[in-house]
Amino acid sequence: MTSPGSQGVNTPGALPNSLPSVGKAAEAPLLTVDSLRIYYHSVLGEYKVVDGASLSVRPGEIFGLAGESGSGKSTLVDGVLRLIKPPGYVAGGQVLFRPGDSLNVTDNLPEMVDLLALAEGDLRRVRWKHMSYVPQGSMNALNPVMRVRDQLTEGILAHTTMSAGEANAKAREVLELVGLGRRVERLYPHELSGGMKQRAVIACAIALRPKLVMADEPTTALDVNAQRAILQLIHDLRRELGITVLFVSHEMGVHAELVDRMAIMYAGEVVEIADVESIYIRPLHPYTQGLIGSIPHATGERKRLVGIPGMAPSALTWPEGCRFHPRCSRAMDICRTSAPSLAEVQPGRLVSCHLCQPPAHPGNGTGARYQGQAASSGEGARRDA
Amino acid sequence: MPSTNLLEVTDLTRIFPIGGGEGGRQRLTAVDSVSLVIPVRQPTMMSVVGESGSGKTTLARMILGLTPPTSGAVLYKGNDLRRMSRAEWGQYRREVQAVFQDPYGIYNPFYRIDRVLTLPIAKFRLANFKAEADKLVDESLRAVGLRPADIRGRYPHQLSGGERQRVMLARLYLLRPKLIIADEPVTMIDAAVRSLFLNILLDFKETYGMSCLFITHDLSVSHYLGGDLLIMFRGRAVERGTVDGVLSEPAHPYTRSLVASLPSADPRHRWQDRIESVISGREAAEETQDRCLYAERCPYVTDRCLAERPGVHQVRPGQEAACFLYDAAGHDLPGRAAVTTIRSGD
Repeated sequence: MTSPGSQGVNTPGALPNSLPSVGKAAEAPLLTVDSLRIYYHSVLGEYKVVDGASLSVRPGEIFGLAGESGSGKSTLVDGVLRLIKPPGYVAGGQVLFRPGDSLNVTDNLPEMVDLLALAEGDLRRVRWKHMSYVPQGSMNALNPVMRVRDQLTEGILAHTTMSAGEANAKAREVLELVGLGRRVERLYPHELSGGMKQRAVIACAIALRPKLVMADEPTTALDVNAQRAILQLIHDLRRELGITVLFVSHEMGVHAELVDRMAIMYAGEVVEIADVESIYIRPLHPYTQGLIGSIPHATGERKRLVGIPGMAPSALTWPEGCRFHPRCSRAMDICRTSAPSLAEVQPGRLVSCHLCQPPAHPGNGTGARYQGQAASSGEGARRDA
Repeated sequence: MPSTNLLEVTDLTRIFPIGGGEGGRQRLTAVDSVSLVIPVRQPTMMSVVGESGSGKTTLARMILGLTPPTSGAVLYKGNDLRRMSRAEWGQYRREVQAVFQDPYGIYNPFYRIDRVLTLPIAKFRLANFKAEADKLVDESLRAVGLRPADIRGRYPHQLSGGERQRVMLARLYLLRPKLIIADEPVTMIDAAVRSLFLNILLDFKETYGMSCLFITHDLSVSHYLGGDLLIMFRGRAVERGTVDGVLSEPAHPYTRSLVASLPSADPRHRWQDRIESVISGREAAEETQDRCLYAERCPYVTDRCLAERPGVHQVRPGQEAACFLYDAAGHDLPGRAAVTTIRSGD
């Protein structure tokens, strides 16, 4: 075990480029969100829906984004896609995207694109071809008066120089890929089941083989059988096409089945990032521990779940200091006054919590003590559960 | 004649005309001959689980008397809901309470939250003085883990979904019903708050002996609650038994597919096998109710499934399924291991 004091100097905003090199992940991240702030104007003040969120997604991985409703997951994705509409606006931060070298020749994109600084015209060249989106409630994302294949063809024509015939063939091929055969391509959306509609929307998202697909709660409205089929599909598509997926869901059980690494959001911030096993087996942030302690299991011993008392704070006025401190059973004095920042406390693990952070002054005493505390309390939470 | 059953639902059926169709009206059988029993002698937790469109909500609405059944009956303490006297109906309305899915839709936005608690106090004369009523309201809010100061005087839009659902529980605390009909009450609230809600429901059952019919699409919630389980598919009850029995050894092919598709919530035990969306392609020649409605998706489909409606067969003591696989005496499950052995770890 590495001492937490040895690395991760606590500089605000200095996260993304210093991600540890674990295995093949030495590659530069595909997407880097750095201290992103997305606010909404209102007569009452600014709703700071996303307020300093940072994460980075590595090429080829399925990266999960979890958190309760109102934590800013969807808004973060909208921000990355530049879909924020007034009264919302980007109040700060940076979103860097690496479209890759093979495709950008024709599009004249630099190797690294600052998405927030991109002009609207250039943005059009990035969207769909290099990065695409499976929206929340995608059952309603299809045009009800257009056949499934025609919707795909239309999009392909708008974003490429293919002929109508080529685009049609391409559409057919993509539908096949997501498990929708010949029978389905001529149907209208209302003739499809929820799971099939979801497949059609995924087909749209992967039609042009983008590097990055952002899927926002793609299984939320589906029953468990259809949900499992969609998760399996996303998994297959990653393997076959090598796409990178940013997978947003509030359901922790789904993340456990699908993702490689994940970030936990709370109150507009990312509070913990780690590989999926660490998140479930040894969560470090008290909020993550609460989330893990709230997952009902369908088999095994029936244990009392603890949940997280209190309610999610309002984006209008986040609590002072650590935003989780009013609900945190282990809050200390410092939590009420000073906001922790996301720092690497173990190789590959980023946590934003005073309990986990190495002290600003040299001396490993406090840091080492914390390690034991976190471990015991993590297990304790599960035992009580 | 005192009945031994608190609630008895017999062959309850609801058919909706859905219009359209050529040369006649199409009909949708939302609930198809469903029976269930909640005994009076001990508080019971019963979950009704099914996917959307399986008729769960229609069933709940019929039990609550909000939707009249096409046929069949709902008996409360032995009295048919439709033949109750005014006094019996009043008692039923007092002793059977509902919690609905949408914590936003059930509140009148123009009234303060207090009203949903003061109204039943007035209607059922739970208090004689205003001060007494006030005390009761505060007590009920505290009983569900809410601070009266945070809730009273507020309007519904000022509360979170989880708080609104818990105010509904505070209402149950006031009324101490014999039976709670809960229709997807935790679907729209966050996981962290969900367990608080479910814990209160479990406490109510233990402390005040309230039985609960809990309708959900989420098998993990029914596992958490324990008790009995009824699985519905397209309006029919396809399997029933104890929660533990059905979840550990699901019998009906539909139940098995549900259990196999539950996320494990443990990244160390991910799904090892794959599911193929089985469409057997076997379809009945005509639209008929005299067949198994799961036949198209069932890996074990036979000709009989398309020609005859499967009866209810006992799988093992305390567990029964509406499936021909369990018809014969020594039923052998073809390919059973392929479906149930899902996780390598457990």
